Amino acid sequence: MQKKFSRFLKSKGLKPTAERLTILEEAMATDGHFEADDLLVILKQKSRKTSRATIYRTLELLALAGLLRRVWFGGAAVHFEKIVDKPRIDYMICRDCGNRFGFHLPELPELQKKVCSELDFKLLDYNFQIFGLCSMCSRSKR
Amino acid sequence: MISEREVLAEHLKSKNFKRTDQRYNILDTFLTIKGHISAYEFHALVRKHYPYVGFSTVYRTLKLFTECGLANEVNFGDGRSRFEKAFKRVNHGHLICVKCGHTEEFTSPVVDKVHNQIIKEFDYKSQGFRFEIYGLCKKCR
Repeated sequence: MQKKFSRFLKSKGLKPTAERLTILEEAMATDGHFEADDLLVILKQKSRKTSRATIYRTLELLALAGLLRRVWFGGAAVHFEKIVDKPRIDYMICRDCGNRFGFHLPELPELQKKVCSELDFKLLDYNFQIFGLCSMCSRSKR
Repeated sequence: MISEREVLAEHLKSKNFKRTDQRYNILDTFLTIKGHISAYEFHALVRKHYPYVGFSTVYRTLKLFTECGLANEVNFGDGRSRFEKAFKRVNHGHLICVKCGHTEEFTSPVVDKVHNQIIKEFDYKSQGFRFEIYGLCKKCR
């Protein structure tokens, strides 16, 4: 991971500074989704010197390097997650209680390839979410 | 058939919010838009007809529209949310060029099928899905 990120930074004319590598290490040690602010809290707890701006910029770099993926749940904050060799989970988000329900759709990769070839696009990434009310919230509204 | 105004009225009632003229004025303007519009662009449009409406009111009202299924919030990966009309529209996805920002809309029976399967499985009351594919268009490759 560290080598891949260092190579990426070098290709962009940037240096693999200790701060950037610490953020990489923490991001890779975090399971599930996290926001830039979550990482800031963890690093502060560990008394690592860093700033919010550095974290934001480094997370963007990690996403560009293909080590993290941006996940967006419809709110103001962008979440990140590690890109791992497991089937990708997409989410259904309840607009009332905010709960998320994960699911895996094996049909999506093939479908994306088809859409991209029809409209002549080179596929990079995707974002799929279902919005509505979960069974609990829709029942309470009845 | 239920109208957009009725959908909003119902939603405001369920949230215990007031049915103010301003909210309905914003809805009237929203119904005139075509394609995707950012909150800033939409605010400018609202101000043409109703000069005293503030940005926060417009933004919060757009969020209300999204909650009740009148609008869709779409994210084209440039850090700025855009809104589009959603009521009585066919569910569709967006293909976005990350370099030039060019977008294309697409529909697919496969997505509709998997969407219906999932909401049935989870007993979910869906207001629709958001499907964005990020890539590079022919010109930017």
